[in-house]
Amino acid sequence: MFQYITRRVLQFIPVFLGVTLLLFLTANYLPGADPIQLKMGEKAIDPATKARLLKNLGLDRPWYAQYVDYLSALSPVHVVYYDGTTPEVDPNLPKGALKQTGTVALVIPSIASEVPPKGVATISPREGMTYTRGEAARWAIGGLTLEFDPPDLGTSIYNGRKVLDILGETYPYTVKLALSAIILEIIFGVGAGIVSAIKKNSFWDVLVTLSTSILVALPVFWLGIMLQYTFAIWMKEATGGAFYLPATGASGEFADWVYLILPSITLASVSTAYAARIMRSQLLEVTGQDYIRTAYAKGLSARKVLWGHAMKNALIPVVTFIGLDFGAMLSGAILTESVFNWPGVGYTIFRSIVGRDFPIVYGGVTIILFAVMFMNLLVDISYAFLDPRIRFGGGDN
Amino acid sequence: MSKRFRVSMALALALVLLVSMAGVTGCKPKTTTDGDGTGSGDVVKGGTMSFYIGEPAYIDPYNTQESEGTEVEQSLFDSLTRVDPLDPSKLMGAAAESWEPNADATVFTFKLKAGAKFSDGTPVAAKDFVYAWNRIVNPNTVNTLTNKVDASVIGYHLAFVKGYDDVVGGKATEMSGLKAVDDMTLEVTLSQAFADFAFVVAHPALAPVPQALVEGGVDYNGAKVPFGDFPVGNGPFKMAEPWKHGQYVKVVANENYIGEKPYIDGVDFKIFKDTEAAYTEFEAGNLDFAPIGEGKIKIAQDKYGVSVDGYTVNPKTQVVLGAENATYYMIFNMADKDLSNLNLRKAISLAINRQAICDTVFEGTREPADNILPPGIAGYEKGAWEFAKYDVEAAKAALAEAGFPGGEGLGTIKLSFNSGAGHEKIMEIVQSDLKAIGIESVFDSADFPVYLKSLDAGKFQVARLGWIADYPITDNFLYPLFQSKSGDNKSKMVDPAVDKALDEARTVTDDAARISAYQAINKSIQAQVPVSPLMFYKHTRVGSSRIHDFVWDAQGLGDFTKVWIDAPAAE
Amino acid sequence: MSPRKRSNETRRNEEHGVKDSRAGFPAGPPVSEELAHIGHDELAGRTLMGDALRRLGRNKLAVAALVWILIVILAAITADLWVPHFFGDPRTINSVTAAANRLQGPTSHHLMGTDELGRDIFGRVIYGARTSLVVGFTAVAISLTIGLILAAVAGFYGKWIDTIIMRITDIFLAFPYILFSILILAIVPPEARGIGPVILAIGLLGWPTFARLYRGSVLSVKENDYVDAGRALGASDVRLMFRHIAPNAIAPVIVYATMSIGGAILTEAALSFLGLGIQPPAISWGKMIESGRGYLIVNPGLVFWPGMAILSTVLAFTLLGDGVRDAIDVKMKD
Repeated sequence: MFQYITRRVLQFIPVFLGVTLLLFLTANYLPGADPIQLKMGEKAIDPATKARLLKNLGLDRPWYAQYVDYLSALSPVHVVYYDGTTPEVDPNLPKGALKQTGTVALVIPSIASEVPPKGVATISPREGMTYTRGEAARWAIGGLTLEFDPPDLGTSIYNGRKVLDILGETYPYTVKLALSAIILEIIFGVGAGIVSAIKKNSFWDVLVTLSTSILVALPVFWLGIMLQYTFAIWMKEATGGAFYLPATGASGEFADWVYLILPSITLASVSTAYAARIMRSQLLEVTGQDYIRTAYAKGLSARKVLWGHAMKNALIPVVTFIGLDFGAMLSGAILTESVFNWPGVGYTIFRSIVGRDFPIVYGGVTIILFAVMFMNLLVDISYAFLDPRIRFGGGDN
Repeated sequence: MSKRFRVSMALALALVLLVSMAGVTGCKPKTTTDGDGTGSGDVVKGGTMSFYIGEPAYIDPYNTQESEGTEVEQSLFDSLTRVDPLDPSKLMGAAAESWEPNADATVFTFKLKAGAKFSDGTPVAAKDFVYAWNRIVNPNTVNTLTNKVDASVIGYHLAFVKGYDDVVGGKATEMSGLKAVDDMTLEVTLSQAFADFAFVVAHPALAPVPQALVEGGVDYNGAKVPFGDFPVGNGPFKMAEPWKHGQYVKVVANENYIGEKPYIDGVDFKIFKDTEAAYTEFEAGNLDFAPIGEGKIKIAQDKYGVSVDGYTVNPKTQVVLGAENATYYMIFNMADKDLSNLNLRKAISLAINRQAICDTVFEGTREPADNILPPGIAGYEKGAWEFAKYDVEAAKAALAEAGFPGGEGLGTIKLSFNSGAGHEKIMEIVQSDLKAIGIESVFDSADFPVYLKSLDAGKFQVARLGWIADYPITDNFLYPLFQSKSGDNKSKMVDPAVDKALDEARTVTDDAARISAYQAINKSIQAQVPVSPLMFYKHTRVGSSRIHDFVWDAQGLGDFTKVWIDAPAAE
Repeated sequence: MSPRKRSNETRRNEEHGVKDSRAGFPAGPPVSEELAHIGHDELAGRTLMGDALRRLGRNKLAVAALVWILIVILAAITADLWVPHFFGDPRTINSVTAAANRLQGPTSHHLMGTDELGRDIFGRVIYGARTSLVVGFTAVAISLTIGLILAAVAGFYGKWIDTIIMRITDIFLAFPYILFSILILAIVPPEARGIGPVILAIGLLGWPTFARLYRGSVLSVKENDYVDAGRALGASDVRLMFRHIAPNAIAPVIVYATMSIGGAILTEAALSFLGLGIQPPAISWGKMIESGRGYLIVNPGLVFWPGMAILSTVLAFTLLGDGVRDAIDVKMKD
């Protein structure tokens, strides 16, 4: 089991590198933009100031150097070889900055392509940028040092805030929304699927089939707006204006969960339909199989057969679907978030792409990738409990 | 994303304008006489006002320029001077008690008010201004939130100060033109004459900051908080707790303030992602001041009543629709082979139905422009831009004169604008109007940063822009927009005579003479049609029925010292 | 559905199929493992095609869907002939009358009322169908072509070529779909913005599912006796691939493609809603919803009608896809 998890985590590395590399490459081919100019909008900024800001953010460098910067800042561990004495903390420098008298000969992962040249007193490879190394812990044998730092995702171009802070504010909203949507999906999707499979061809079955077809064809953003119209405008008196209120900051007179109702229905709509369809078809397939017939032949009650044997096998694909879907929801739901002004990670990344605030885009995608990987892993592990036939460790291809 | 700068507007003019305009657009301001529409009555002390803002970029004066941050910052800080919210031709002292230019308007001496203190109790001295101003200009200024070098983008306010170029260029760290003569006297030497400099220093970003707290952080509940999250200023309010990003900024009355103390206990600046949500929250009774969403202006006017002067909120006259000192205009690329044709520029300018845009897209809440200067600026003359009007026949004639009768022989014109900011609808009307006189056009829309880059690079034919004055003076429109070397002169108009006249006007110390000099310059600029003014911006906000005497001025800055709030009804 | 031995391949397909649903952003229906096996047991032949068509004809829901699709196509193609005549040209604005004509409710002249700039909503919905249909068909054609070529190569040659192609597919599937399409659209230089890049963005990102589906299908066809027979008779790789394997493996792909057209229409609407897809003055249902949102209180028709147009068209493609699936696979009917 442990071996299996390790293998899956290792498999994630090439996917992660592939996706992020593709992202940096894509960003490099975006048509000429001037993200710094957004600080002033339509008013001119002094060209010299602009150039300096770009330089300080490292945005004047080629994309591959920026990519190395990004990976290096993200990595919590650095192996550094100091050709000279080990560095010491200098109280005159900003917090955590190190002073060293030797030369940094090697850094893995590299602090970009610019290793400070010989004789540099402070580790600041670029003007105005201070590398704080080995803040959390450091470990040295001679000139070879192992340095630990908290992962960093850089700062926003627009307002100079730390990307981790910005994502730290938005991500909880995404998780809240995803959780409530997935609960709806489990209750209504799985429930409807079971009902319609058990009562195949009944009125309920037809109803489920029909409504899932419609749900799948619904544009989610339109559904969200129509829900707002219905509950926030048309039925305003009846609901007391409880819906379509913003989710952030401002305190309303209603409990937090009230604000979650419409967005989570909107987000859950399509996946609930798929969950119901998969549940139904799986249950029908399983009940047609030999071992279920055998179970019946052995005289077990229909109830026992269904819940004891059929359900467990039918659930595997459903769990897969819901698990992966949850991962997808944790990547942020741009449409739902923008309809309901939900300050989640999807909307934040979207706005940052439009505003070319690349550090937020890179940081956001990084968080998303980790979330999706984690969910995939959980789904795989859950197989072990649901399906004893699946063995971990081996692999046929 | 419009940046609302410090702009201002003559009250009387605004009132006349509002009424006459309302007649044209058919939106009758509903001025109720019952209730206390004039706002007198017994002032009640206490209470907290809740105020809509979007997430500010910075609330620290060193990078204050967009409307959201400026709104918060101006409640925390006092600059040297202040434009009278209800009469922008008048300057009042704020941190300065008096100021005096020398004879040729190159040296300004400011006397500070005695006894002024920052909210932490340390006295305000001239050196705090020197420090704050150098901080804005210095390219190596550190952002206190990240501890990284993050140069300010608003140093240009001080470009007239002697030594500015050396500091920007890294050759010096302090501007030689700034001198703290003693604790109470600040002497500013300019590199060129600028008679209106006292208006420049009214900008909220030019406020003093306490060096020790900027560099060492601010103590809050036993911990150090960066100055950027907890600015300490000399204004009527002070931070109640550090800025809660994405949620709110809370300020409370500053007991150390030496000016007029506010009636209210404090202001909650509540942060919203968008204006629609804020308006809904307002309707639910959770906000005291909010923007009115698209398509809801008419309903709001009927429901809440329109402010008498366009800026002051009182019960039943709650909707503020006053003019802002800002102009929405189309720019022509005068270096383009088609648009270098003066008659073509005239034809396009004359073909656009400005009234239709104001009536449909903005439901009468903007006003057709007939001048690049908005009516609130002292040099404004009605109809001064003779081609900024809708005249189909004249447009057709100009097009023929340009050599393209009925559009024949003219290729397709590119209309550039930034997408996703509501400009599509305006451009659709412009496109239909151009088609009506025979000019075919295509859209060229891009995300904002891409659009700004292409404007900079001159890669456009006809594009849109909005100009919001930093200071309510004519110079702030004509100099940046049409001086040949200015970065904001996107039409690339080059006219040495205009350049010379602009520089000369700055040296005229007599107000009336200066204004008429600017009016003459404005006339010679408009004859060349470098831009086509489309609309003047106007406020579209609404206050709650419990606030009295709240003024939201033409610059979009709230005066939180005069407002008072009804005592909560006893239950 | 018939009981079947679940091979490892089947499991993989099913897993990757659902991965594609990407919550909140409908890219296309999830592929259930049943799809990968449709029609494999039969040899492709003209008579079978005829049988399938006959079965499709008996499915009332599918026929209704087909009729609706044809009506929409016909209306979109002929719009120039009748829409401007009856309802005024919804593509231009008369700035003189716009203020008087705006935001009207339904009348005999304006069946669905007018928008905030005085244009006929019904006419705009009809013109919007042009955009949706063109995007739907061409984007799926692009995904299909790329997916089929890569899958055929991967599935036939196997080994390391297969591994590489499938890893690339993994990367594409791991990347958040909508973010990727937003990024692709952001690459487009301003002067090139329009329907083309939208089609490309949707088409370029849709191929991984087709590739997986077709690869699975090719693998299971390859195991059939007649392929071995062909190989024994000395048929070349290319001949085997195109004469024997491809036609037999294509059935599930056809079903998925039909459903994907609806998915592509939804994606286009969503991108346009976010302001990244179709740019005005071109008319798109998604953009209509976005620009009408502010007028929900005054005239909800601005949002309601374009949404209904999307819903009905996408639903029709889904139902047609269901019908085709049932028609091709006899066994699924019992």
